Amino acid sequence: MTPQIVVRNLSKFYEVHQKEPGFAGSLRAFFRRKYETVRAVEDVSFEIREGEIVGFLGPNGAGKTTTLKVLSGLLHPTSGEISVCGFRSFDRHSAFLRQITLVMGQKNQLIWDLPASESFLVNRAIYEISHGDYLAVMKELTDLLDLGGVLNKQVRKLSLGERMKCELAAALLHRPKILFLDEPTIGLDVTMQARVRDFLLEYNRRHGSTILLTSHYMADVVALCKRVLVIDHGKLVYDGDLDALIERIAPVKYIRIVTPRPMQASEFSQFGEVRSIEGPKTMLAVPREQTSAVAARLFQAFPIEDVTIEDPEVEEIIGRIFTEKLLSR
Amino acid sequence: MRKYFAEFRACWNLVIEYRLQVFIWILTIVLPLIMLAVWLSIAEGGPVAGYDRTRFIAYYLAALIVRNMTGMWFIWEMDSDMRLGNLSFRLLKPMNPIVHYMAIATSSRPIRLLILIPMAIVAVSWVPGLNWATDPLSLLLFVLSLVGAWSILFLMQYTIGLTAFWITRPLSVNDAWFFLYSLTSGYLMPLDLFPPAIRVVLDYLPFRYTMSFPVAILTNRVEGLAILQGIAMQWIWVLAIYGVYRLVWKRGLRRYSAVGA
Repeated sequence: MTPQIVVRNLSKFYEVHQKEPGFAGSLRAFFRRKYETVRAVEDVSFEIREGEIVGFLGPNGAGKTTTLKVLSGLLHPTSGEISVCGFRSFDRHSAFLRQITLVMGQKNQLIWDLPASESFLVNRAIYEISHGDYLAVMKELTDLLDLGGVLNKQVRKLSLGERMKCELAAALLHRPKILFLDEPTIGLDVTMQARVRDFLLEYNRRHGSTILLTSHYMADVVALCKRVLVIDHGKLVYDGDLDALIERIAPVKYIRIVTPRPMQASEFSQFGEVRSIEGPKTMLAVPREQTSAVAARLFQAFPIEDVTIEDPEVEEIIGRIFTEKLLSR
Repeated sequence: MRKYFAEFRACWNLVIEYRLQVFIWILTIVLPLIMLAVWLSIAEGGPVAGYDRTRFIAYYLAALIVRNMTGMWFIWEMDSDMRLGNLSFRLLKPMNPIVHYMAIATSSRPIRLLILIPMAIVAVSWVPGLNWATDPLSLLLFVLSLVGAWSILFLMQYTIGLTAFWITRPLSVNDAWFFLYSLTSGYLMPLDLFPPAIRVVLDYLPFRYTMSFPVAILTNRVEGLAILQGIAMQWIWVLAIYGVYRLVWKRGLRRYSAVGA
């Protein structure tokens, strides 16, 4: 089966004009603008199968949103080939548009001064959804997102979380096969973020829809995406399992031990790298494959009251990818 | 068409939501009344270019009605949609965004009619010598001319709004457009008051078909074949401006998808 999304050697460059600071600079810019080419996405290739949930990771300005916009058909690629559900997305064929949806956490499509249900009716007509289908979809979304008392309140009176739930519902009325989500949980509190994540997982499980998302919250990526694409400075630097990425970037685990007496860092030099030591509490970084062996040796060497072994925080790992350029080619 | 009605329904609900504001909108179309007051005092000394005081009243009251049925302000919404990136959402739906703005530009008409029709009836029965057309055929032609006028104005405004693809503030273009419209359509003053040399030029512009022509039908100043000719001219202009709109829309989209949403 051919993959649902195929991207080959995709590049997207922008020409942006440079404005020099100050009045003289503005005046010069008025008569002759200097242009500079921004390489937002450069020579990116990947494939995505139907039903996958894939996360785009990368710092601000890395090219994640640009990639989503090219995939959804808003931007015309500078070069490269792209096929989504068999369509060139930038043609924005209506048969293509009916199969996708785009949710941007920082923008809203709902009519601000009317209840969300009014926006739903407009979308229902635009996507030509039959009455029966509409009722069924509304029932499902109302249950899954707990929209009960929310639909008939004016959008401007909703909380951010309630509004996001309505945005998601409005974007899903036509049962799209592919969901492009750009920061869908931005600004939401932790509980609401978790709710949105649970909803997306359940929706993907029920309908087998493909989900592509960008998020700054690692918890989103960890909870939803088995596979991640890491983009840095417009280039794809990693495409694969999130777990494998973590192993590659952070080939260590942390052993925390508590001893009856305060310890000196030098006493642990033969066991691993001491990350912190506070009186009787010590944290060691140990290569993954040696973790249990080192733990056993620790037990023999010292009287130990407590021990825990843990993975480094994903947040920390991803942060290191970009600050230390660990994946740069 | 169903899509249009759904959009219309939502916009109509907004009109109801902002009902006080709509009332104010209607009341704020006062330019014809101000101009009327000016001309009434000038015409005290005798008719100006064939216009006596009654004819000025007939003219400006008709202009008030035409403006209420064809005035549109959706370009402000368009401007914010395009600057804030909401156009992206519209582009990802299987509907041309123009339908949405058509709905906005028609949604307040029913409420306006509700106020204008009684006003017109009062004017016809109480103002002596008003001489407005009241037979059904003329009224039908008047309504048709309003449709043509609305279409010309809508397509012009929409095309100006689309220049946002290239320039940051299409509203300043709109200001210049409005100046031209007020002066050359007959909104500010009857075109008969211009010197003949200028009137010849105005005949070649679309603006007179958006105000002067419908007003002439309602005030019984144009008859028979000339009415049909005028309506035909309206639709020639609609087609011409539609062609420009399609061109601007296609090139604008190409640019939008090149430089970013």
